[in-house]
Amino acid sequence: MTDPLRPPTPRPELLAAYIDGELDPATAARVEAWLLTDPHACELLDEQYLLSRSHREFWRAVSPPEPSTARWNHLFNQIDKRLQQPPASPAQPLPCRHTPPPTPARRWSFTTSVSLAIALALLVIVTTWRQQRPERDLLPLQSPLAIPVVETFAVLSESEIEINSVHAQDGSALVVGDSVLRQPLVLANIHDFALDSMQCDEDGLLPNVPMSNGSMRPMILAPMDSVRD
Amino acid sequence: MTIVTSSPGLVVPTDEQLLGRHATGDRASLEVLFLRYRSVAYRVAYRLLGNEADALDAVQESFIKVLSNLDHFQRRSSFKTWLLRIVSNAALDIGRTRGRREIVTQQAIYQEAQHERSCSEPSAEVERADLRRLLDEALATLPEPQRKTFVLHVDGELSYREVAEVLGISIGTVMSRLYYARQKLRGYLAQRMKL
Repeated sequence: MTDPLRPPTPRPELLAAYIDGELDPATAARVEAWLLTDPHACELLDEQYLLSRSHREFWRAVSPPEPSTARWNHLFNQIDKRLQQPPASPAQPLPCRHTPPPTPARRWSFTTSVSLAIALALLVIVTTWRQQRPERDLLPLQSPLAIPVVETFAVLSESEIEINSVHAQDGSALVVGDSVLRQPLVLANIHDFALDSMQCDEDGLLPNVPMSNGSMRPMILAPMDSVRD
Repeated sequence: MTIVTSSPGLVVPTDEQLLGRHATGDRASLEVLFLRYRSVAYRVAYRLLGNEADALDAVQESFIKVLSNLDHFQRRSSFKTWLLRIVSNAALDIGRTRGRREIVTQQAIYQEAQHERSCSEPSAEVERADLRRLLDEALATLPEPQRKTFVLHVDGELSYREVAEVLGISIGTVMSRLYYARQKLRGYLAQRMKL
């Protein structure tokens, strides 16, 4: 049971900052009050003191090798030279041949030609694709699935995150555990697979997709319009 | 290059005064500023990059960037903290571009140690080179935010508050990063020095 009269134990990083003389007077006084009441305080203080001092001394004893005077002089001359160069002027627009603005008739003719060309190209591509596509018995989706709106969340690997400390009240909000994507992430486009069936996972958030080996994998959905044939 | 030393009775110009003179075209003030901050800037860059050539490139780019953008310097922080912010960013950019820390570190450190040995320096120097190599290895094990925080505090000689200003983080975060960086470095060094 904790003594309500005793000041709360400061975090170790606070003690280190105290040793470094980096705390504001009020916080330093709080730490000192704790040091006076806790029998183990001196041990912790000594430990932090030794660590802080030895680090500083050790680090400074092996400071990086100083460049030679000649190198410093060369560096300074380079800096001086670069600073004396006039600043680059903003890029001037290249002179261009003056061409009269297109008349409405010319503009209409150009727009029509481009639109026709694009439409023709699309027609050729779609026809070719339909002819080459293997026939499959695709089951139509019975009803549009209601996809819940999920807040964007970041997925980080172990090496990308560093948690130093967490306040107790934030503990429940912190999700720690295995990644949903335990296997390598395989990206597929809509032409690579046929969607036969789909079901939501237990949370109703990520749809699970049955794989050929019988396992279920979570799938990240593109907008449904792009999936439909 | 003129060496400026302080002696009794000599009024040492402040950074502000030197910057003002530099703005009016006084070349000597640039020399004084360079002499004043070149070593600290170099130490920070070296610790983040691990070799002299890259560190000097970072120092050069930073001085040029700082002095040609003085109109953006808002004087809310000191010239030193502003310079070291640019130096640390430049060093990390160079490190990323040249892929130094993860790939070249070992090779560069090894070459440096070999060079120092081949110069037949006294054994104390060789020992120092070995220690430097060990420290560089230890630093490389820290995540980038911890490494930057630690280097700015220890080699940049910045206070917690100044480090917080440079990195745009809270003092509490500086405290945590420094504490955990020290713990991790202690663990690494203790393990290696036993061997």
